[in-house]
Amino acid sequence: MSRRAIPGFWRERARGVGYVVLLGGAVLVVATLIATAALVAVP
Amino acid sequence: MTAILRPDADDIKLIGYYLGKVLLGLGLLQLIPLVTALTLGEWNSASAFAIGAAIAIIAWALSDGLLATRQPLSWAHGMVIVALAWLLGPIATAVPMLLSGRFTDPVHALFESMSALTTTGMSVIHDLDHTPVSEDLFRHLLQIAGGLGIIIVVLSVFAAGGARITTLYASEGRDERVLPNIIRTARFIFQVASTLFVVGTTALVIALVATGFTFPRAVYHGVNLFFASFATGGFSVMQSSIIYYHSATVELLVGLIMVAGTLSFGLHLALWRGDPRDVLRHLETRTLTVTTSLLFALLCVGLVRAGSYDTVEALLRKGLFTMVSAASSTGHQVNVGDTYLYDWGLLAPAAIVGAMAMGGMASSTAGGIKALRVGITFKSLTHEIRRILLPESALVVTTYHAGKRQVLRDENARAATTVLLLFIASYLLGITTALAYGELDLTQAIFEAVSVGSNIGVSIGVVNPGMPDGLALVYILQMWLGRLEFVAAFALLGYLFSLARGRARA
Repeated sequence: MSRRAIPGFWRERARGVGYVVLLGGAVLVVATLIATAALVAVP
Repeated sequence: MTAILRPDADDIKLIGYYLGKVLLGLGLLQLIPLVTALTLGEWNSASAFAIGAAIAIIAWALSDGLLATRQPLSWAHGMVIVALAWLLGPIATAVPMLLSGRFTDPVHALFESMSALTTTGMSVIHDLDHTPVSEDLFRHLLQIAGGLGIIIVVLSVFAAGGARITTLYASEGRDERVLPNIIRTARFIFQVASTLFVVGTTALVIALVATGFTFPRAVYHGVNLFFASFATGGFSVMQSSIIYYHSATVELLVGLIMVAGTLSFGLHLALWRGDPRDVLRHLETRTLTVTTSLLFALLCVGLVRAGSYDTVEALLRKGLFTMVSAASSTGHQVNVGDTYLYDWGLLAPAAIVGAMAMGGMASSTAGGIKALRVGITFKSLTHEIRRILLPESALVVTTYHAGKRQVLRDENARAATTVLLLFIASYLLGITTALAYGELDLTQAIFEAVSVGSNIGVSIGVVNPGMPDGLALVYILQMWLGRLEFVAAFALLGYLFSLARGRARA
């Protein structure tokens, strides 16, 4: 059976990559908020 | 007291037999840059790789012919093989590096190969910007092999499998088994790495072409960048590291790949299966989120107060990138080493040192103390406080989520704090040795010793081609201990002791 025929083969990979991108996006959003707060709060 | 038994000839044969397989793997790995060198006409590099590969393969042939044994592999054997493999591997791969003529002496060549395999990523190579393609590829291949685990890479290909590999797998510091079967675990690790390789390298190549690279050059940089970033290694093709690209998109992509590299393979599996809740409630995710957020806030306060940067973009591109590079234990740089010393004040470098000491997740390609141990130490602290505050008759149970719900046990807490203290001892060794040379100040000594000891690679400039051999040897020891997370190294010492002082078997 070819790998293309394995159910979920590509879906699993797409999900894995997608969640990593999502995680990276979350890191960026939180970091932007922290950096903005630091610029505002530190004289 | 139980007497320690002296290992016999069969034990030594067994250890030699498996070390031979590791050498074969590292010998075959050198064939890739050898073919590259022959294709591109890099004759000096080709001869270095031919000699390096020949030595490793002959050593394997001798061990396979003379030491083949059917003796079962014990826990002690596994620990000793892994500890020795992480010494022999760097020595074997230092041979072509030394022959390339790009290193001051054999100690510096060994430093480079140890830095590559342990995914530390500090470099003492001369004239990196003009290094032949094959030699650069070799340095980066070593990083990905070391990041995934040379034992798991080599033995899953060459060994029989089953219980024998399980012992070696756990000894290499991969204590969280992703899937019940080790071969399936190794296969899953390769699936994650290869999927991200295709996606990550394609994205990097597109970004590099958009910045003006020719397609072949973009592929060359993209492949090496992926290897160094996902392995959380930190080597780079150019001396100036990521600054060379002057591209926010490249920095963003490299940052994403570093985040992927620091995730444990257990969490990758949860994401592949579509269970992000498992990631969110994992002790390591929570520990890393809290500590890295606090350290990044400290970093921003330090940078703004020191007047280093005054925009959000600068704080993200310089500060966040360095924080992710440190916390993921990669070591890619967007600042020259002197910047940390002269432009960042004291608070900001201290935050980076904190992130480097902690490192990434257990059972990932990352180094450092690991978030799991920091989390367990914190849990055991709160456990003790609760025990003191509650009535004596109360039964205090502390739990945490790591793959599944687990009860905090004394032995887990003791193991975590012991390794944590040993990492601190390793940092102190590096700091005092650097200070003993009398040319560095405390900030430089601390920064570099923590970076080396945690296998990170962000450098304040102490590690360079002119570094004294004595300091290089101490850093090599730190990198080895940090990669083995001490346990296998101490098992090797115990084994050597039992060889000399153990009781002969009846």
